Amino acid sequence: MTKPARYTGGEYNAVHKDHACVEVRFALAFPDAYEIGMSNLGLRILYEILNRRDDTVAERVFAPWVDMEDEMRRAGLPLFALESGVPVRDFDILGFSLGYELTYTNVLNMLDLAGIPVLASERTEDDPLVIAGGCCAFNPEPMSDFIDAFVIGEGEEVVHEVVDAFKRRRADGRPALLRELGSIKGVYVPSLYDVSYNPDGTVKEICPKSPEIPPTIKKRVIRDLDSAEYIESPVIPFIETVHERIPLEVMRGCSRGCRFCQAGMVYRPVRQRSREKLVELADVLAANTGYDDISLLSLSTPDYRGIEDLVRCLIERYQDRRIGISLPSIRADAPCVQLAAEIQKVRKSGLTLAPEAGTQRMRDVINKNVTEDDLLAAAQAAFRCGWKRIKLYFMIGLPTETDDDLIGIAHLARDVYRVGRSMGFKPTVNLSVANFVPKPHTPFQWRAQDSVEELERKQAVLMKALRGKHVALSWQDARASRLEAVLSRGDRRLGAVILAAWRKGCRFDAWDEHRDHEKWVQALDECGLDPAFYANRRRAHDEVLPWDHIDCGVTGEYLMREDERAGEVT
Amino acid sequence: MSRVLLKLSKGDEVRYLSHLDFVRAFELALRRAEIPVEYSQGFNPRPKMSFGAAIGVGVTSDDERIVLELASPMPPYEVKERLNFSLPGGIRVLDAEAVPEGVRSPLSEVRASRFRVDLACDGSCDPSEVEEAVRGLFESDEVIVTRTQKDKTKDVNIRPHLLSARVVEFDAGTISLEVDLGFSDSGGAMPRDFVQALQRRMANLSLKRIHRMQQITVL
Repeated sequence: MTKPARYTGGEYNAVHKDHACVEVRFALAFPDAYEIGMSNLGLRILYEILNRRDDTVAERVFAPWVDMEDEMRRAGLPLFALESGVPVRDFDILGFSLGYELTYTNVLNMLDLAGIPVLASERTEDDPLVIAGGCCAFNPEPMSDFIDAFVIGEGEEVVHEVVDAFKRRRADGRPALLRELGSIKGVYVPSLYDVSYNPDGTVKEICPKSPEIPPTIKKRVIRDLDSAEYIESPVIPFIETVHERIPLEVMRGCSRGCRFCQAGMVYRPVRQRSREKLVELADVLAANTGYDDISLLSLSTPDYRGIEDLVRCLIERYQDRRIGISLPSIRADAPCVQLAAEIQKVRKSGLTLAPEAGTQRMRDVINKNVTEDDLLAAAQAAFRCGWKRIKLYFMIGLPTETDDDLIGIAHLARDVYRVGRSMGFKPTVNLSVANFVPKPHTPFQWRAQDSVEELERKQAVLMKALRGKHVALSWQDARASRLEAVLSRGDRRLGAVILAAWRKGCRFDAWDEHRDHEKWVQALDECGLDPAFYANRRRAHDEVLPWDHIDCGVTGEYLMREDERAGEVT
Repeated sequence: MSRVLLKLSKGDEVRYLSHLDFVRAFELALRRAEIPVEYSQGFNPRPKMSFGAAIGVGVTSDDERIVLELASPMPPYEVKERLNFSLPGGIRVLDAEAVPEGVRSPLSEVRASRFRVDLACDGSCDPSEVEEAVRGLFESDEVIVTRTQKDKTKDVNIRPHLLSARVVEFDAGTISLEVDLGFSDSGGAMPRDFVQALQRRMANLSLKRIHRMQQITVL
C-alpha cells in the first residue's frame, strides 16, 4: 500500500479525547488524500477550535487512496477517524470541507465507505448529521441531495452555533434539528427549500417550504480577525505535505476585483490582523511546530497595509532562531519582487508571477491591474535578485478572448525570457496555462465557457506561437475544466449526475490518472442533462441562477455592472 | 564541539514512517525542544546530525542511533528530557551519552543489527521445520535473494551477511526468530532479505513484523 502513514494518525499535536467524556463527536472530513487535506487551513482552524470545547471532540478523516479503499472494502472495514479509529458513522456530526468541485464524488465515496446513506433523504436518526462548508458551498445546489446542511462563509463562529444547536435539538429528531439549524444565520438546509424550473430548463424559483425559513441565506463573516480564533498547535504531519511551514494568515478578503475570481468576491470585505496579533500568533506557532518558515497567507499579501514593517519586524524577531519568512503570492511588479527578494535569502524555488492574460486589452477585460511594463520590470528585478526560474500563470478561454490575446501570451513569455538573456544568462521560463471556469458570485457568472474543442484549439494556437521561444508550457485537460464548470454553476438536478457518476466508479476526479471522462459523459446523458447548458451558455442577467438564494454580500447590481464593463465579444 | 549519542525507540504508532519521515519528525522536535544544535554552513543550513543504518517502513525499533553536534554544551540528560517532551508519541529517547572528543563517530563502529522477526505459519508447521530451514541457510555457500527497486530486479548473495539466527518463540502459529544481520562497505542484508530466503525454503511462512532489538558493535 502507498503511504500507510496516511491512515495511522498519532501526529504531534493531534488531539485525543475519551469519547465517553464529551457530548458531541465531530468528524472533520476532507474529500481528498491526506497530504492535500492537511494543507487546508480552514480544516486545521476548525479542528483546533472545536477541540478547545470541553464538550466536543473533533477528529480528522480523509479520502482513502484507491489502494486503501480496495483493502477496506475487501476487509469490510468501515471508514474510521484518524485519532481514535472509531468508525465515522458513530460520530454525531460529519463535516466536509468542499474546496474543489472535482472532489464531489469523493464525498459520496467516503459516506458509502462509512456506511452512511449517501442520500440525505435516506438517513435515519442513527446516522450522523452531514454538513459541509468551504468555498464550493457558495453554490450548494449540486451537492444538496447529499448534505443535510451547508455552512456559508467563514466558519469560526458559526461552527460553535451549529454544535450548540445540535446539543439543544439532538433528542427531538432530525426534522426539528434541521429546522433549528436552518434558523442559524449562514446555515442552509436544502431540504427546507423547493426548486422549480422553467420549460427551457432554467431555474424558475427557489423558495422556502415554510414562512419561518429565510428566503435568502447570508454568508457568515468574521468582523474582527484579531479576536477570531486561530490555530496555535496545528497537527504536524509525519509524511511530506504540500506546505511544511507556519501558516500565518495576515488578512482576509481582497479588494483587487479581478472579474473571474470567486475568492476575491465572496471573501469580502478586506480585514487585516494587526501586527501585534500576528507576532503573538507567530511566537506560539513557532514554539509549537518547530517549522523554520513563516508563510504570510492571504489572497494578496503584498496589499497588507504596512507589509514592509510587518516583514521587517518578523525577520528581526526570528533570524536568530533560523526561521525565515515567505510570501506565497507576489504581485507582478518590481517593488513586490524586491520585497520578496529581501525576505527570502535563499532562492529555493522559482518565482511565480500571475499576469493572467497576454494583452492589455484582455487584462482590462478581467480587471487585472498589471501592465506589460510592470511584468517586465518584475522579471528584471527577479533576475537581478538571483532567481533563474520564473513561472508565469495565465488563463485562456476568457470572455472576449481572440487569437491575438493568445499570441500575446507567447510574446509576453518571450519578452520575459529576453529580459533574462539581456542580463547575460539563460533563464528558465515556465508557462502554466489554466482554462477559464466561470464561477458563481463573480461578474463572469453569466458568461459562457469555451467549448472543449475551442479550448483545445486555443491550446494548440498557443503551443504553435510558443515554438522556438525557449518557454516550457503546461496546461490543463479541457474536459476537466468543463466538468468543473458544469459542477460549479449547476443546479439541484446535478445531484443525480454526481450520484450516477460515482456509481459508475468515479472518484478522485481531480487526479488526471483517476478521472474517467467517459463515465461523466454517460452519467450526464442518462440524467438527460446537457453539459453545454451549464458550461457553454451565455446566461441572461435576468435569469434566476441556482445560487441566487445565497447572499455573499456582493450585490447582483455590482456584478452585472462589472460584467457589462468587461464588454462583449466583437 | 560537543557531541551527543542518542538511542531512540520507534514504536508501533510510528512503524509506518519512512526513514525520511522519521528524520523530519526528529528535526522538528529538535527545534521545538530548543536543543542548541550546530548548523551547517552555506545557503541552506541544516542541523548537524547523523543517523545510523535506516530501517524499512513497517519496522519498529528499540535502538535507533543519532549523533548530534551541539553548538553549545548541554548535558545529555537534559537533551534527552527536552526531546522526550517534544517528540511525537511512539518516538522516545531511551538513552543519551556524551561522545568524548577526538573519538570516531560511534555510528561508524556499528557492524550489525539484531532483529526479532515474527512469521506467521500457514497450515501445520513445526518449530523444528523452521530450525531446519534456518540451518539450511547457514550451511549453504550462497543465499540468493531478489531485490526489487522501482522496476528493476537484482539477485544478491546475502550469505556473507548472515551472522546468526535462532528460533526463540513458537506460539499459536507465530514463530519468532532472533536474527543478526551484518553490513559493511561491501553491502549488507536486510531482515526482509532473510525472510525471503527463508520463504524460498518454506513457502507457507509469511511476515508478520520486524523489530530491531539492538545495533551491534563488532570489534
